[in-house]
Amino acid sequence: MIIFLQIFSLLFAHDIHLTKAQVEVNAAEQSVQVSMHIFLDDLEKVIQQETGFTETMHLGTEKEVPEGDSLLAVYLANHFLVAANEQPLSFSFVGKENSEDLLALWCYFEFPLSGIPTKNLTLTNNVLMELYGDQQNIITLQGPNKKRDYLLFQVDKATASFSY
Amino acid sequence: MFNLYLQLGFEHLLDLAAYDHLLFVIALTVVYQLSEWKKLLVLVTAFTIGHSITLALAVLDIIQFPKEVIEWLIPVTILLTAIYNLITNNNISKLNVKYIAALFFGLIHGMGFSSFLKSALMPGEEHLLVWQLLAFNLGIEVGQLLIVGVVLLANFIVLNIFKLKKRNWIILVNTVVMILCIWIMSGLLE
Repeated sequence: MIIFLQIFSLLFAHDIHLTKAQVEVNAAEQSVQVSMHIFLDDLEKVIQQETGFTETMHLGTEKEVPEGDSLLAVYLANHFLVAANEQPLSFSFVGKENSEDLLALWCYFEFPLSGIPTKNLTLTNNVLMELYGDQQNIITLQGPNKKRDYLLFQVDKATASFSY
Repeated sequence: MFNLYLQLGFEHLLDLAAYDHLLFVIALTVVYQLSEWKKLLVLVTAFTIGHSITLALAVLDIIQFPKEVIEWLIPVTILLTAIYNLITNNNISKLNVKYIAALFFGLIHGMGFSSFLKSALMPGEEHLLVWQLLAFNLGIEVGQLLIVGVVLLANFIVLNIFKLKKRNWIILVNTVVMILCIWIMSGLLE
């Protein structure tokens, strides 16, 4: 019965083309910190498509290929961009963990502000958009003054600003 | 926050890459004309009550269900609606059956909506859940009414300006709906 259920569930790919991320401007640590939820099957597919890496990466499992983190970091750095005062901030990968249901990864990364005085960030988030035309990436932002904002990124609008 | 979830609900219903709910609303509406708007309003309301109930219950974790089964049941509701449209003349005596079916199909679609909304909820925002639910549901309603409006307009143009026979128009639209529905089902098998 269990095997039957497993096969049954393998037959269906999820059809939810959505990532979500929490972005916090941490004034004390002078950095923009991101935790982003991305479905694993899409992530594997898009990284392979972009890098030409042909092996299955098994991201987030014991069988993960040694290049796993670096491939993931390069992909995210290319598709999640933050600029302060029109100056692009450098991307720094922090780590990742499995979501509770094991279907997705929570990816952690940050963008050091390096003393740039700013109250305005420009974000570009086109993660997975080359895969799906209906991809939606949502973000909640929190500024150092606890001001919150919600942004939706889509193929025709993958860049947005946040003032705090 | 409200605007984001409103927009997510609206676009989820109108998503051309995942058009199952869209097809259902088209199938529900296509047999009506502007002059029958009252009957249609009751029917769409029955569907809305259905999907609002299960959307809320599922998002609040009061009910659980296997997502895979719902993904199959949704195209089944569309197929049944299209078949019903093809084999009946939308006669008034069977309307009550139709309302109950719309309510029941709504329950199924609501569970489908909940899978999407749940994946769009942020950790640590549980205190906002009621608002997110309300906004998302409202977005779905607006999307739904938009489709109803477009279908009624199309019906008007086709039947009154191009003078197509109503029966032929219903056969044409429902056949296309059924083909797209089978297409969705074959996609689920991949």
